[in-house]
This record gives sequence, structure tokens and C-alpha cells, in this order.
Amino acid sequence: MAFHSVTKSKQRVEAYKKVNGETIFGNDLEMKDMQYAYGVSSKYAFAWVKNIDTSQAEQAPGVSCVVTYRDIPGDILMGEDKQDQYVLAVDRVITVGDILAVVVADTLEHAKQAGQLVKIEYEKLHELTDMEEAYQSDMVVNPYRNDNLCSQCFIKKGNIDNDFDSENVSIQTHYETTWQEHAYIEPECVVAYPGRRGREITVIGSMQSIYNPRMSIHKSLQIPLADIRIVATSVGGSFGGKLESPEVMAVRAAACALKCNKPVKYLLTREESMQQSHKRHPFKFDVRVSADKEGKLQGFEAVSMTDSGAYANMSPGVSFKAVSLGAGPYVVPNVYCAAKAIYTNNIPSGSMRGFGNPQGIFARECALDELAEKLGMSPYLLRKRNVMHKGDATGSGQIIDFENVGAEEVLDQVAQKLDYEKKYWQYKKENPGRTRRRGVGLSLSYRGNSYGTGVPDIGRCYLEVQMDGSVRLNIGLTEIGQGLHTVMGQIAAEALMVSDDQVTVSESTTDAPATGICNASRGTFVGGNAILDAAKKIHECMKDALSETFKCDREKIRFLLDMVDVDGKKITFKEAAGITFSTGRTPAFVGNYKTPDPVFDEKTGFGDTFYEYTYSCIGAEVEIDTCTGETTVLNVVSAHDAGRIMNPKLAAGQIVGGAVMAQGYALMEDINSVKGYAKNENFDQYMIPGIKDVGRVLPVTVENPNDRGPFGARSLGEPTLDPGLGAFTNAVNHALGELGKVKSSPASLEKVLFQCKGSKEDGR
Amino acid sequence: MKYQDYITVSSLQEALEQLGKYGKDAVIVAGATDLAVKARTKDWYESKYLVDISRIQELKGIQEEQGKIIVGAMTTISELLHSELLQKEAGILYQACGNIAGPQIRNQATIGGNLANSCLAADTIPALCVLGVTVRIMGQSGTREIPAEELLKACPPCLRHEEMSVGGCFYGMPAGKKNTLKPEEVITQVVIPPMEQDYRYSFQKIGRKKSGCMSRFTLAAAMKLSKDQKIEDLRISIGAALADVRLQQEVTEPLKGHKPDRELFHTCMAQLGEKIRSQVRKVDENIEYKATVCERLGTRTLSELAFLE
Repeated sequence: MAFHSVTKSKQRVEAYKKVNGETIFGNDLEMKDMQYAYGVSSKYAFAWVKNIDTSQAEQAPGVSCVVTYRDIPGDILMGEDKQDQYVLAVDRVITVGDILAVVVADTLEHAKQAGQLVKIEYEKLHELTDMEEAYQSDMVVNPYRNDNLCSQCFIKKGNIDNDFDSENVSIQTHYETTWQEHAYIEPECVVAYPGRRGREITVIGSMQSIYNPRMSIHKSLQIPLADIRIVATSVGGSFGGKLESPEVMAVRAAACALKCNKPVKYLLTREESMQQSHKRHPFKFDVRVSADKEGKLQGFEAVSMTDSGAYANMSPGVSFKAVSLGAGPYVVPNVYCAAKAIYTNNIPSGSMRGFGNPQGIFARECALDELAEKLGMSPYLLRKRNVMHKGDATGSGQIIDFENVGAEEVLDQVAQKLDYEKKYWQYKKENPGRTRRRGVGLSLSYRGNSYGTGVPDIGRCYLEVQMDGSVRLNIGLTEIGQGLHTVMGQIAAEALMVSDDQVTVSESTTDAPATGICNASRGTFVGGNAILDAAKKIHECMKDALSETFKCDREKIRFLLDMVDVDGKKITFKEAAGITFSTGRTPAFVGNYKTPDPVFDEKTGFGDTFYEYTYSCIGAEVEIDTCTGETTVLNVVSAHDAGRIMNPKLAAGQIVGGAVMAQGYALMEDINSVKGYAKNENFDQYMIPGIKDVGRVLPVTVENPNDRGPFGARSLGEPTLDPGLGAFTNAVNHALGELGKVKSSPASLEKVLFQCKGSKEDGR
Repeated sequence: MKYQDYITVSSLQEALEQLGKYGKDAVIVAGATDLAVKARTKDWYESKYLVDISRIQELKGIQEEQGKIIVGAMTTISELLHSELLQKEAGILYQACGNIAGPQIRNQATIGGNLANSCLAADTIPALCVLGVTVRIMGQSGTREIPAEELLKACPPCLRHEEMSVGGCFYGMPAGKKNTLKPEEVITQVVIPPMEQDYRYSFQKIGRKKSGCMSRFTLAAAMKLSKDQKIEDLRISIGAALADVRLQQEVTEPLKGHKPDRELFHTCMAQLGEKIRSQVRKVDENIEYKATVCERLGTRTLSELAFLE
């Protein structure tokens, strides 16, 4: 198949302005009479609120107004999966990020100073920061559930208990992960301004999701949806972090803008962002896995608990991804994966690139390496012996017969390019006695694209051909730095058969029809399919016009690149567009795509979970120092089967970026949470990898397209990070060898060093 | 950042005048890489008068004077890294400088500031101790010159500051508390005796990242072997682990005259490790980490310096 736009490395549509510094981000927005908002956050992680007195603050210099729960006419509760979060605190605070009042003033300095004058009467409670303690406690963290059990789910196949006796080789182990901060370079910022007709309100800013904020504003401020406009500016990174966090900010900012009838900018400092914005879910896993003596897997069980923090946010979805994908792309006859999400007074957990899958993969892939060791087998061969192929069933019993399963291919690519097999045995032999020890680690995974079973999954766009033949695409899936708008433009150009410089992708606004959130690795897949639908409708419309004008059969009309062949006569696309308009037709259509809903039975945990999968493998080579606990990353190979790659350069960027983010997660990122506060509020203490920490990362793609995705494309955003935590941890543990194992994230200096204590390699 | 006034001076004379005028309420600003970060966390300088000395020409430059290297206090870390003289004659300081933060900080931060801020985890200080530098200080009553070790004061409270981050520092104004600088005094120069060519040295900083972070443990070591391969001199200073940063002579003296030996080095560094532990009543994970690294990294480093591995 010859493509003219997709599969090419088209330059990012916003690249030039970004590099030039011309791009407008949230905090660059300036408006006449613009006010600044400052949110007064809770002093405690858990307390009753007896009184909120804003009278003094209201009189402070420069203050326009102060907003509290009393200014919210509609729903005071909002939320993603459950409406369980106060927009503004009423009678209680259940996490340090809860906001009790928003002060609006002419300068940020004035707003902050006035904020200190807001008087709050608290009755402090014992904060529940440990999930096991919270689960057992009688104290209710979030009134939504009086048992602190936010959600639970499982998948089940066969009978797991059959296999943990007999002659099978089995291991029982425990792995834990901690929070991870998104660390986007741009902290949250939204600007809300009232329109000229009174009840109209626009919120513009750094948001990954635009329809959810609109819905929340509608419910809380009782404004019709048609009167609310949300615009996403260029987003300086998000990774899921700008879904829930700026959404609640948007509601507060809108309330402020309406109360003082002026534009209001609400932005967070990095420290506020660290304290208030949600983080990746921490998980604890109890894992059992068994295989026969030849290494054929017999059973896999992962029972987990995750810390939802104060709000449900996306806990049900995160738990479901962790369990449904938990058994990995392996053939295992008996599977049980279960997760419980617990409410605690910690900083809320929420959307973060990977969404439960990195955690589940980590527990499984590290357990598999342990099993391989016990079997005396190479971890690579253990995986190869059990990897899924087309026609095999997943952990929940879904038979993947609609595509070639690229899992073995990506595994082989990584093993080969990393020289895994040779290094695994060589380092194992050479390490004892050395203070600088090397290790290699593998991790194989798969990811269901988009939402999966039970969640409505609809993509929409508005595609219009103008009179001059240029094309405008209006799609509500946001550009958050992943290159989505570029790829959407390429798909539109390909589908319409025009050169891609003819296509303009407009900024994402709610003027485009509701298309859900740009998350869950669904953008390329769902957005692309919606564009194909719109393009088809446009072509049909143009064919009607051309057949009428040239009096020929519709079948005799063919679209070529920038040209139309009308029964042998060649006209330009531009001319065809003009003709279409002149017949009174409009070549502009809404495209729709609804992902077929896989059939899964929640009660038995068995069935189909996702409509489409991406297969991934990461391999890492590290060197550890038993004298200091330091880990140096030498090499990383990251291979993915995401169907047909729409833009190779962008894909490579995603792959490298995902590997680096996983490296931070695996080796150094750690929220030091004490009594519900993040003690490390900025990047001097929350460590993310710098240029000197990153080793060589080799991105690899293999292509096994099917006809479900647009031009065979599947999504890559999260798969590129998914297996990373497992790979780096396996590499560190391979290097540690007989000295010990790291079983929780991150493999910090201390953790690695203390595994090496009591060894003969005391630097002597 | 809140302050009473910000005064930029262009000569030492002017600086001393301003310091004399404001006394305890004067705070010297050089590169501001510590000061500005501390100010973000807390309004330390709200009642203070900031005296900016970064334009004083007399405080700049690296010269040779009677066989010693004279470094102006306002010399930035980047400038030190560009000095061939320093690389050749005081290589251990050169290595230390390369470990400081990242390029942006190094372009602003000064050697005088690193000394005056007197942080236990400061990267130049262990190297300066091993080199045996002296520090020239000017005040109302004239100039004095003291060894770097006499400039610093022991600071046990800082051991409780786990990550020793700049923003979380317990001392917004270290002058007089963490060092022996009197009010109205300013460091003018650092005098570095060149290290003899037959010394082998090593500077290592252990941090959570390979660049741009505070030190968890710092080791500066230099060794000279005699012609018959015995230890003629051994100089060790460690950072980010002891309340008192200086040459660790009690542990190195006993090794002089002996043949280099791994066990010997291990005993020496284990002693130092115990010294780290003994500073606190309860040894937590943080202190245990530093003591263990001291023992292991120290032993290996000394062995490497003595060609044992």
C-alpha cells in the first residue's frame, strides 16, 4: 500500500512556534482587567471544618471577591468516575489539596496575602495514610463509601488453586509501587472569562480534557452546556496529570469569573501542583506463579490493593487495567487477578500514563524473572515458551484472532538487540566478587487501546473542506505534546487524498463535537477512525456534486492526490471543492466512530476486555555500584507493535520519552509523603532523570496492522512506558544477583546499597 | 523575594561601608544560587539589606602569586572549570567543580559563596580541605588569612536535614552561625597551594542523579607514595556526612609509613564510618547509608589510588 501522508515523518504542526518561544501557554494569557486567583488549601489531611470566615480577606487590598462553597449554586460534588469530590470544601477536608476558599485579586501577590487572612476553624482528625489501616478503620474517609473500599474488580480463568501443589515449580512473592508525579514542565493554569451575554463562560488553559470540565461547570454552576466553551491552549506536558487537576480548577475559576464579572487567571506554583494534583496509584501485589518443569506456565495470580487517595477519580479504571492486562501476553490456563482500591487521606491518585498497567506488569515480570531463576532457565526463554500468538486466549479468556500478535516479535527484537541471552549468563557468572556489577532485564506486556469493556467509547470530529480546497479539522482530542494533532492531520490528508500541507488542525475546543478525553491511548485509534468517517462522507458529497455537474456515473469518479478523475477528465481538488459549494452542497461533516463494546462478565471475571491491543517489550542494561547503591543505565531497547506507524519520528520520540519516564519511575522517583503532605515539593528533591542519567535508548517498531484501526494504526502513548518499571527493576535485580532483590519502586540508592550489605564485597 | 533594600556596590571599600552601616541586617549577595532558592521557601531576608558584591572587579580573577594560585572570591564555578592552571595544579578542586549542580548554576555560583554559605554538603569544601587552602577575609579592622577548616564551624543540627536541600536549609543567614565570619566581613580570595605532581587524587560525589542534585556523600582523597611504595601522605575529607567538614587526620595519620593494604584502608574508612554514626543518638536509614558508603567507597577509592585494583 502506498501512502502519501501517513507513515511519513511529517514535522509537528506546532514545532516551529514552540522552538521559537512564540507558543501561548496558559500563563501567557493576558486580558484586560484580568484578576488572579489563589486557592486557600487545607492545613490538615483530615479534619472537620467548623467555620470558614472570609470577611477579613474580602476587605484586603486589591481583592475583588472571595469564593467559597456558598457560591456554588448546583452540584457541590464533582468527579470522574464518582461524584465524590467537593469543588470547594464544606464541612470537612480529607486531603491537603482540598481548597476551602479562592481569593480573587488584582495581583497574585494581593490574592496570596489576602488568602492568609481567611480564617478556618478545624477539628483535626487522625489522618489515614496507610491503605491497610484505612481499609480496617471505622473512620470514613470519603462519605461516598462508609467502608473506605472505593472499588474492586477481578478477572478469572480456570482454577488457580489447582496448580500450587503437585510437581509444578512455583513462587510466591510480593511487590510494591509508590506514587509517581507527572512532572509536566508547565504547572496547571486556566483562565476563565465571562462572555458578553451574561451566563456565557469560557475557560481557556492547560487542560488535557475539555468536555469533562464543561460538564462539571454545567452541573456545578447550572449553566447550559451550549453556553460553556472550553479551549485547550498548547499544553506543556500532561501525561494524564491535566485531566482531573485543572478540571476542578476550571470550575472554581468559572465561579470566580462569574462572581466578579472579570477574567480570572488561576495558576498553581510547582509546590502547589505537587501538593494538590493527583499522582500515579501506588499498588501492593501478592503474586503467585507456577510452571511445569519445562517452564510452561500453569497458573498466575496477582491480588492487589491500591491507594485511591481521597477521591475515586479513575481508581475503577486503573484497577481494571491492572487486572485485565495483569496476566500479560502469555498463554496461562489458570488466572486470577484482583484489585481493591482504598480511600485514604493521601494526595488523590488519578490518571497517569499507563493507568495501572505499569504496576501490574512490574509485579508480573519481576515474578517471572524470579520463577526463571528457580527453574534455572533464562528469563527470555521462559517468556518465549509462553508468549501468546494469534488465536490464543488472554488472561480473561479473550481470543485474539483478529490480528497477528506481535508479542514474540517485540520480545525477540529486544533480546537480540540488547544481546540479552549472552549477557544474562555472562554477568551472572562474572558479578560475584565485583563492586561494579552489570545486569540485564526484560519486560513484556500488552495494552488494550482505549477504554475497553463497559465504557462508552465514541470519537467525533468535524472535518470541513473550504471553497479553496484547503481543509480544516476540528477535533476535541487535545495536543498535549504527544504529536496527536500532527497525526490527526496526516490521517485527514490521507483519507481525503490531499497533500498534508492542505490540512489545518485547529486548536481543541468544545466547538468540536464531544469526542471523550484524549487518554487511554485512544487518540490515534478512535480519533483517526472518526476522521475516516468524516472523510468518507465528504467524498460522497463531492461525488454527488461532481456527477450532477459533469453528468456522469458516481462510480466513474476517483480521488487522486490533490486531483479528481471525473470519468477521464482530471480536475484539481480545489476546483472540485468549488464546484461542490456551487451546487448548494457543503463538503463538511461530523465524523463518528463507536468502538464495538467487548463482552465481559464482571461477575465471573471472564470475557473480552479490549477491542484492540498494542504489544510491547523493553530491555534494559544497567551497572550497579555496591559501594554507593548507584545505578547507571547503559542501554535500553524498546520495541512495540502498534500496527502501522503513522509518523515514525513521532513514534520514536514517544518510545524514547516513555523509556526515560519509566527509568525515573524505576530508579529515583519517590514522593516523600508524611501525614498526607508531599515533603518534596519541587524538583530539587523530587528526582527525575536528567540528560546525564539517560543511557542509549534504541526505539524499535514492528508492524502487524489489522483493519480495525485507521490505516492499520494502533496507539502508542502509554505502551511506550508500560513495561519499563519491570525491565529496569529486573536489570537491577539481575545485577544484584545473590546479594538480594529490590521489590519496590524506586530502586533508590539506599535500597540497592542495603541489599548489598552483609556481602563480602565490602569494597575490600 | 522580600527585602528592605538591594544595594549593588562596585568596590570593596563601598561593600565594607554598606556592611558597616547595616551590621547584622546586611546580607551579602554573590551569585545568589543559594540565597534566591532559600528565599522561595521562606521570607528570610524580609528585614535585611542585600549587598550585591558581584560587580567588584578586585574579587575576580585567577592568578599565580609566589607559587600559589590566588582565586578571587567572585570567581564562578564555570570560570574555575575553564582554568587550565587549576586543572593542572589543583585537579581535585577541578573535579569537585564539575560535580556541582548543572551548567546554569555553575555560571552563577561562586567559590566565595560556596565557602560563605558553609553547607555541610558543599562540593568544593572537601576538595579545598585536601588542598590545604587558606581564605583571605577583609573586615573593618583589616585583612586576615585562615585555613579553610578554621572558617567553618561544626553544625550538628544540619545532620537532621536529610536531603540537605538548599530550599529547606535551616539557616537563611549562615554568617557567624555556620562559619567564623564576623558581621561586616567579606571573603576576598582563596589561596591554593598547588598539589605536588606525585599525589594521586580522587573526588567523588554520590547523588540521586548524575547531575543537578545535592550530594548524599562526598569523598575527596589524595595519596602520596614514597619511593619504596609506602604511604608518605594521605589526606581525606568527606562531605554531606559529618557535622564538621575538615581533613580527617586522626584516621589518616596511623597509616603513614605503612605499605598500602586493603585491610588497612578498610579499617581506616570503617573508623570514619563509625564517626558518622556516633554523631546521632539513633542511627536512621539516612545516616546508616552515609556511614556504609563511607566505608565501602572509601576503601575502594584508597585501594585504587594505591594501585591495588
